[in-house]
Amino acid sequence: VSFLRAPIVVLALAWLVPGLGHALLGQRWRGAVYFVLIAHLFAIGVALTDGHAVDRREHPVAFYAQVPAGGPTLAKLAWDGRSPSPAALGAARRTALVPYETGDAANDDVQRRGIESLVARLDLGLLYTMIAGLLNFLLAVDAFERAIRRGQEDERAALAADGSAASPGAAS
Amino acid sequence: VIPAWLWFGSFVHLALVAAFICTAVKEDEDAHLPARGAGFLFMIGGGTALFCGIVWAVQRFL
Repeated sequence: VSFLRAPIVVLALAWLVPGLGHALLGQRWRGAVYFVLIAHLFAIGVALTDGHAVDRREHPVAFYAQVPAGGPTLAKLAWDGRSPSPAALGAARRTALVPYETGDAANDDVQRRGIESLVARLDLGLLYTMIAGLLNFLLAVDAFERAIRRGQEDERAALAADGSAASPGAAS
Repeated sequence: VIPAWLWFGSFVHLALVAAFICTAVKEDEDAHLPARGAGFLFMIGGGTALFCGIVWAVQRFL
């Protein structure tokens, strides 16, 4: 159990699962609230853009702000990887924002309106997922710092206990 | 173009969450959290309004 409270382990787990770092340090309610806040921001961003918000090829700069969200980003990438044909999926997703003519006017119109709607929502979706990532980075660093402080307090308490055990009269 | 209500709603939503988390990492006492979070939210709103006002004034008068 003490291994799970080592600062570097807390940092890694807080990155992987938003709020887990705080939960491991005994702040379960805070951890649960943090998880809900980060996960729902990320989910809204992905849902707004039909999944286009998280893509290293389409948005390489935004991707580096989404990576600190940890688990949610990994889950999205794993979900993409579940496709039976990743190469075909990648090609389709790279061209999804580019309209193409099918010859059917009604179909082309529906497709064009869909793309326009997606482009309008893309900035918002990117913003949501990037903010989720950056806020989780802040939370992971906070959990790391709290774990260091907790370790120092435990050391001080142990030293004080040793001191009082070595000289029982000094305490009275 | 996204509808104005969606833009404004998302701004308030993101500001609320960011204000809460940024306050929570600095505040250990749960009881103080709502008041300090509200103060930080007010600062975000005020700062954004000021920034928008300056941009508007530059476009309008310069």
